[in-house]
Amino acid sequence: MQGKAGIKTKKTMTRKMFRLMWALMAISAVLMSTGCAGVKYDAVTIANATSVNKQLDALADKSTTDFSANTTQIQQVKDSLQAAIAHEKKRGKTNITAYMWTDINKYFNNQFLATWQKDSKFGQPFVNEIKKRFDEIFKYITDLENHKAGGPDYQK
Amino acid sequence: MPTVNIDFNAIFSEIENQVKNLALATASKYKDQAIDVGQRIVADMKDDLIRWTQMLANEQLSTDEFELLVKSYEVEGAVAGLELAGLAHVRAYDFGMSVLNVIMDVIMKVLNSLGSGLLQPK
Repeated sequence: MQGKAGIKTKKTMTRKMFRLMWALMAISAVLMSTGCAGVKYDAVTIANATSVNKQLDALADKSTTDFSANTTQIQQVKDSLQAAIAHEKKRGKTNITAYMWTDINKYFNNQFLATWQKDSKFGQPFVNEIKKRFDEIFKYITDLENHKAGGPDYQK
Repeated sequence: MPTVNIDFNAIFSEIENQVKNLALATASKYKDQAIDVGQRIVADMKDDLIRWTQMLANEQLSTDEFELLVKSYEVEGAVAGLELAGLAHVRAYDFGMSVLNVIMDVIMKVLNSLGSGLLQPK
């Protein structure tokens, strides 16, 4: 008999597999349109994703307090994101992961920080939900990286 | 605080129609693919959208917070958009964001129209 947890795990797995499939299809589309070779697995990307995910989760926890009281931690996340983007951009024009980091950065600055500053602080239910989303986004990045050539989940 | 009953079938049916129209308008060259991508973005978000809409209706989330959560899907939306043949990242991102805007507009409209029959107090 499958319990509630089992059903949830199955659902999460399916969703993860579909997302990964879309990303791999997107990579194929980009490679076909550019005629370039694919980008290989990079352990630095995994390390950056793990680190920024932790920083964002910690910052989200702080976002129930006033924006102006958290400027140092905000700047640290901004710097980490910029460093990750700079690293990804060096890996080539067909690197979809670079797009993903750029979009995360855009979301962080133009949406998350802008709204936090405007509203001063967020509620705890929001923080719980946004942390789940940050975890999912960075899981997406690491899953995709692990499936690139040379990565632990690469399949020829 | 009263819990509200929301007709999610009606919401997702309306979102599906509007995403279809958006796909036809923005990527006419690859319309079938664009419809497919748009629908997959919505399907991927469905569980979260149901939970967040309920939380918004129950005032556990503010409108700004709800919007922020929906927009957090811009990364996945842009990646999905990249599948559209020939679609550059900027256009893929714009397509993904347009799908998210359609979703937000439909849900906000439904929540604002308490008398429409879609949203009824328990």
